[in-house]
Amino acid sequence: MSTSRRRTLLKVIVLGDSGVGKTSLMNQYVHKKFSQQYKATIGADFVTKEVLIEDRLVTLQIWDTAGQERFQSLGVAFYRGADCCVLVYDVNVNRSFDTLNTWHDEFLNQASPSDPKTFPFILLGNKIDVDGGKSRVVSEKKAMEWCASKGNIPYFETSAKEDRNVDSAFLSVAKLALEHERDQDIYFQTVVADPVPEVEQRSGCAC
Amino acid sequence: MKALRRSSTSSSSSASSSPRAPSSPPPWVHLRSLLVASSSSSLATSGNSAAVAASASFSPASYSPHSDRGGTKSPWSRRKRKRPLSCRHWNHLFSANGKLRDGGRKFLKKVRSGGVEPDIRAKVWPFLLGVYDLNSSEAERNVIKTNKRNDYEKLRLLEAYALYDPEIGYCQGMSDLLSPIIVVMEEDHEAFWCFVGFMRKARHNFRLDEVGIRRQLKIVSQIIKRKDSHLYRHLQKLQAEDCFFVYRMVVVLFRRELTFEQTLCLWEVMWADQAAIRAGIGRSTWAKIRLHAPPTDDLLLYAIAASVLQRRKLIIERYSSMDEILRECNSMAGQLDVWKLLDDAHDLVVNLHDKI
Repeated sequence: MSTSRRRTLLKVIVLGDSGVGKTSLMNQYVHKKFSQQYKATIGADFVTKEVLIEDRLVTLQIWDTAGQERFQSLGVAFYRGADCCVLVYDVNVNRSFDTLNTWHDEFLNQASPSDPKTFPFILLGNKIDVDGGKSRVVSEKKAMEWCASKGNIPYFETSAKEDRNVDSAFLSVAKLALEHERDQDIYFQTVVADPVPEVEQRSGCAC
Repeated sequence: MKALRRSSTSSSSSASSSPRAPSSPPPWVHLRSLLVASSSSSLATSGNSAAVAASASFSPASYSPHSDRGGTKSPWSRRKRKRPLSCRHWNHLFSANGKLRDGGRKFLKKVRSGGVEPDIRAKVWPFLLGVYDLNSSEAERNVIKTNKRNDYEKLRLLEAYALYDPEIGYCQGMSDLLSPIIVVMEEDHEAFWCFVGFMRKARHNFRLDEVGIRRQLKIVSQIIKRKDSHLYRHLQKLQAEDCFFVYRMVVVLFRRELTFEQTLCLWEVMWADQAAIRAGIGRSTWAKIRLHAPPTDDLLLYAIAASVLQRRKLIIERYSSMDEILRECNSMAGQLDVWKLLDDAHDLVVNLHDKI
């Protein structure tokens, strides 16, 4: 039994360098498909998926963004109202790991959530399948250390190609986002005590 | 320069070897050094002196197939060395559909013990280096070959463009603009200069400061505002009047929303407008013609606005967030009639060109 009749929409933003596999991870999670062919994301797009968490049906709205710096400042419009930010890097490319700090800080900077200190992030190290793991250059330990330094961000190692850990990673995303959304709800209920019956209205607060 | 050509086979490069004086030397100089690094094998046959110097040891002309192999018996091994893989043997390894028998086991065994005869190396190496899977059929390899050739051409031309226009360099989305040109223009150098012509205006879409994009989004917003205040007010209510939802259409000029053929139609009409303006064929000429719409540099933006206006009812009645409009715009692929779009765009130009 769901505790609330209201459908919950959770907004998730996926960020990371171009080519790390953001779109592929989403496609694998939502459509159970993987394409070898690379097609750069232009601007932003999103997919949705219904997830059952603790007997509650929530809709994950996962936003895919362009990974090249040139399409950044316009991303701001899409970051608004996010409930969780998924950072992705390629375990075979050092640079994509090094830029995580930038993505992390830029997100907080541009989305300016009301709770930057506790805003939920999650890190995915993708492409662990490549060359049977032999071409990997960023160790799990190094990634975990980074996560610890950012306030214990959950970390998953994934392969969008072979569908490894993708479901569990996004389930964790959904849980984090739901927690965050609840906290926000409590925060806003004290400000505007207005139980809106309409479904989509929740995102109406675009501050 | 020769190495830039579409085909690097020796037959086609010798057939069209008329020298062409480069009109702008600096980019070509860079290009040559780039190509020495990236494709020494094709340069080695081109007779380019720099390339020959750089890769003299690989030049087929100076290479004698049997001189350096040494005897069949290795001085370090007591075992008798086997002979290299011959052409006849190689052909025997394949089954009827062009697949290597037994997953390539016999093939690899042979090469591991004795190498490959020089005259079939070009055929064999792609298998050794993973370009072709050992289990691939001939049909599969042909597909891979075509795709790889296209990918390579794209890379080469984009790299050339990045050298030609270092301020813009390379950016995602450019290959969307280049790929139709490669398909239509047979010769690499012609494809390149057409792309340069295309990019004269489109390059602003890829500027680091994004002013080019912002300017265009603003114009789309203004067109909608002027044409349909009701829709515009609805967009304002959703905080979507900045028209971010058409971002992708602006950056890659409808390439992701239209089919290949439709894209070419739209672009041609749009280029004709721009060419008319460049040639100074202005308003007065067009006023007398049935169309009435004077040529504009921003026909694309009118077309984008038209595609949104075509969905005004849906947007006003059903959509209550910017997300939904973005979703609608991103899934227009296959839904658009390019000539209807252009008709609507021309109508907008007639009504609004002196107000925007």
